[in-house]
Amino acid sequence: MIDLHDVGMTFEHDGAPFDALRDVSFSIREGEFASLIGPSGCGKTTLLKIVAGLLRQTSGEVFIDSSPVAGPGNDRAFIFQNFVLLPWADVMTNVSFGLEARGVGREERLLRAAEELARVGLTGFENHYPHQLSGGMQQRVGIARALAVDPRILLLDEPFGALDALTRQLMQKDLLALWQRSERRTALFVTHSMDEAVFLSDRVILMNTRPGRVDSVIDVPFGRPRTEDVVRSQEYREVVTDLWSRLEQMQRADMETRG
Amino acid sequence: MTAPAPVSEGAPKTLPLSRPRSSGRWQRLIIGASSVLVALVAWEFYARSLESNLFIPTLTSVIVAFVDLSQDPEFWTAYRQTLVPFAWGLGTALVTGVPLGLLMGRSKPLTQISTPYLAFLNALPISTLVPVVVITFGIGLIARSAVVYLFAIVDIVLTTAAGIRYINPDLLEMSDAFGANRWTRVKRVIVPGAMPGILAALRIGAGRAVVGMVVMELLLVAVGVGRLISRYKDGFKSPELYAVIISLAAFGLAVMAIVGAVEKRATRWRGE
Repeated sequence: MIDLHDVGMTFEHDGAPFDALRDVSFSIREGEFASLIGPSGCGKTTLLKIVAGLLRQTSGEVFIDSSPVAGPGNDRAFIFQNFVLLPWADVMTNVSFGLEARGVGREERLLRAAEELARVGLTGFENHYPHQLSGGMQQRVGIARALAVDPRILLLDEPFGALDALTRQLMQKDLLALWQRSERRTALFVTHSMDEAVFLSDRVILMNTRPGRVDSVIDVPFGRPRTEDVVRSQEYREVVTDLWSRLEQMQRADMETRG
Repeated sequence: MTAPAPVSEGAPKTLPLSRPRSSGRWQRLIIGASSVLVALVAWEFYARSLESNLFIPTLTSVIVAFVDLSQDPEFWTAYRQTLVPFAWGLGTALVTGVPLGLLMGRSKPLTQISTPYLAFLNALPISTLVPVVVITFGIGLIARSAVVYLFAIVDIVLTTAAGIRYINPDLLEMSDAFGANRWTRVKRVIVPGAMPGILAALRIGAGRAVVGMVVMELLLVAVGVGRLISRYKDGFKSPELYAVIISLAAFGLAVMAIVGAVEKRATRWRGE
């Protein structure tokens, strides 16, 4: 459903060109939950933004259902690490922002927004302002906002990175529950945490850095739901440990070459 | 997530109840008021110690003059005469200056084009432009409004433009990510985001307009409050003169206070 062919992204840095991404190719099937993970600077957020249509790649092609990506579209919704809610608008207005951007009429907007709010457990907070909410709640508003536009593809940029560890864990479970209950949307999830990537995904796309490129694509060999038993099992821990050490190796190698 | 929000997780931040800050606020008020009181008493004593109160009238005589003036219809007519160009000049400056500031904040080329003119107006004491205005517009309402306009416009444009820079660029990216068109983006992101800057521009512009409204009348035209000031000055009627000056200060403070209150209310979303 999402196909990347030799995608490259070159930035200008102090006059010198800098390859954030080089020859990135992979495909994501419809209904799949895939994570993008790699050491710092591997370009995973850049890649996510290219799929979102917020950035335009300097080489290669990106297709969604065989149509080239030419900008943001109705089929995709983005969830940001820092929530990025409108601070001057209440929760209801924030959740309906995506719908408003797409020209949906006021009554229908409020109706659909109310549904999404209920789904993320924030009914009753419609008139609250972002500064009155905790980080976890703000991100749930962000998630509701994204789901309200009924996207076929969810793009998540380290959505739980700004939250404390406990909230993070709870939100991961909640996100999975939400995602599983929906009509199996496709999800592309950027993270720094291998635990998170393995827990959430069907496949993990491991990237390396300098230049950003795909190192390997790993199928997560565990079914759903990912219960406590599964997560605590020996096999699971081994998979996670193995992947963590690969990630660590990459990051260390990068740190050493940089000196 | 169909269950209500788990309490262990996202409990809303507790809103502060009565904070120690409110007693600090009273403290500040009392200290401020006391210092003014001390100054007033000192003034009274000093004035009484003088041989002649021609140049420095006593506080009591000023108060008496104030009371008399407030009952004098000519005083209020003078203010009405002065407030009309104030309103026109400030209003026009806002209506032209705020959009220009918003556009400048978003457009580098426009900023580059406008900067020389604004820098010129900013550097110049506007009072020196009054003769030019008179030659161009005469001495009627348009001319007086034009002077107020010139006093207010530069700060309004610059403050508004500066306010735009404080809009979080992530918000614009988010707005693009959801495919918002220009209209939605302006309505939901740019204007509310620039609002603190716009209101600051209103506050500063109003202050400048108060200055402008009197300057014109002092320098050239014998109307309104400026005429009163000139008349009392020429007649050496110091208590009345002081009373009028203080009334102007009071007016200016009232305007700033009103705008300040509007500002506070409109930026409530900033939270504590």
